[in-house]
Amino acid sequence: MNLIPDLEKAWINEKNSPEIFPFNETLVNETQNQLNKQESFIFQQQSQNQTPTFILNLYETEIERIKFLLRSYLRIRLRKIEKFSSNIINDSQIQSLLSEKEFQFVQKFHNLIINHLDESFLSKLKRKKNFFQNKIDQPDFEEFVACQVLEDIENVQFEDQDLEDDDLKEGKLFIIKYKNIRSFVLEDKMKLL
Amino acid sequence: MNTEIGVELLKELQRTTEQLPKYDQSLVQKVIEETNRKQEQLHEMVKQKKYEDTISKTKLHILNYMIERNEQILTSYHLERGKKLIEMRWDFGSVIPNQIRENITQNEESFHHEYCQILEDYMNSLDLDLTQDHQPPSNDLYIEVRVLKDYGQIFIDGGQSIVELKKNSRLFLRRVDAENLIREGVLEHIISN
Repeated sequence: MNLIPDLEKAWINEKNSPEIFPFNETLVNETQNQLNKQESFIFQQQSQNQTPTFILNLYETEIERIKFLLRSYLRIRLRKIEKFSSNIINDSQIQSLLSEKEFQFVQKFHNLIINHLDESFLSKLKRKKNFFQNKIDQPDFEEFVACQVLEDIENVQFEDQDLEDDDLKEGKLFIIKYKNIRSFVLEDKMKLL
Repeated sequence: MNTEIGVELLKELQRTTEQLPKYDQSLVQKVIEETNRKQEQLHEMVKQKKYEDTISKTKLHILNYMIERNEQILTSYHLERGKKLIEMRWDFGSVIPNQIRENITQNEESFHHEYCQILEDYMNSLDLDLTQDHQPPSNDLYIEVRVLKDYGQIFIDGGQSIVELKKNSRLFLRRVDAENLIREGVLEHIISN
């Protein structure tokens, strides 16, 4: 497995897609493991005082960069989860895309919102009904995204887009509505840019 | 007037130049009262079995529509303010700035507090602080900062050493250690050319 390039790809996909992608558990765990190993390695080197500080600083800079990727990846997911929380609670299919920790978070978050609305005004209304379902905050699949083809794809027709024959060859770039290429990104045949 | 107060409530939120305008208790109260009045009217009509003829039917529909509209307005008002409170956690940490504290209700304060708690729990379970690293890391592992107010001691270098933050002193700190304090306004990044 190519840890860092894969993390980079997952991060960029997540950043540019309107919806939440399946959580890449092995990737995140493995990255954290490697980071921990490298950190204790640096610590050990520091205490032995053999490696020049300059070199150790380079290692640390590398660690910070990878941590940035990891944090950003998890943060982007979390902010999407907050945004779509009421959809997630009502849809077990989206729930399966979250990590266990993310799912715990969204449950607490959703309760927080419900309680807040209840205490602020719902409890003062005569009509008691739980109408909170946010229909507005749904992923917008009509959004345009930039993407790149990772492997040749044949025999595809897009609804509102004319394609040339060799359009879906490896390495080609385009800007297109997300709904058209969604399945390819999920199958890893394309990546978002 | 019918459902117009509610529209006023939302416009207030939209027009403001402040980060978070004062919670409009009296307007919220008016919308709640109006909604309850409509609910009573509706209830009364149903009780008197006034839903046989077309005019009554239409009236019932309109009443129901008004109630739903007001509920939606109240939801949007409170959710939008909630979102801003959540953004604040990401922008300046878990302390609410004083000028904002004056503008929010008790409910909103505990909402903010609980959100911080939920987020904290999630980040602790990951062992990563997701509120760090809003910008991609630069080449500098260390940055120069000026201390803007007395803050006491902090742990740096992953808990290995302690440094005292005294007003007006200049320090050379790790970017990771300094970043959140810069956002909270304790430190200032000195950028030399």
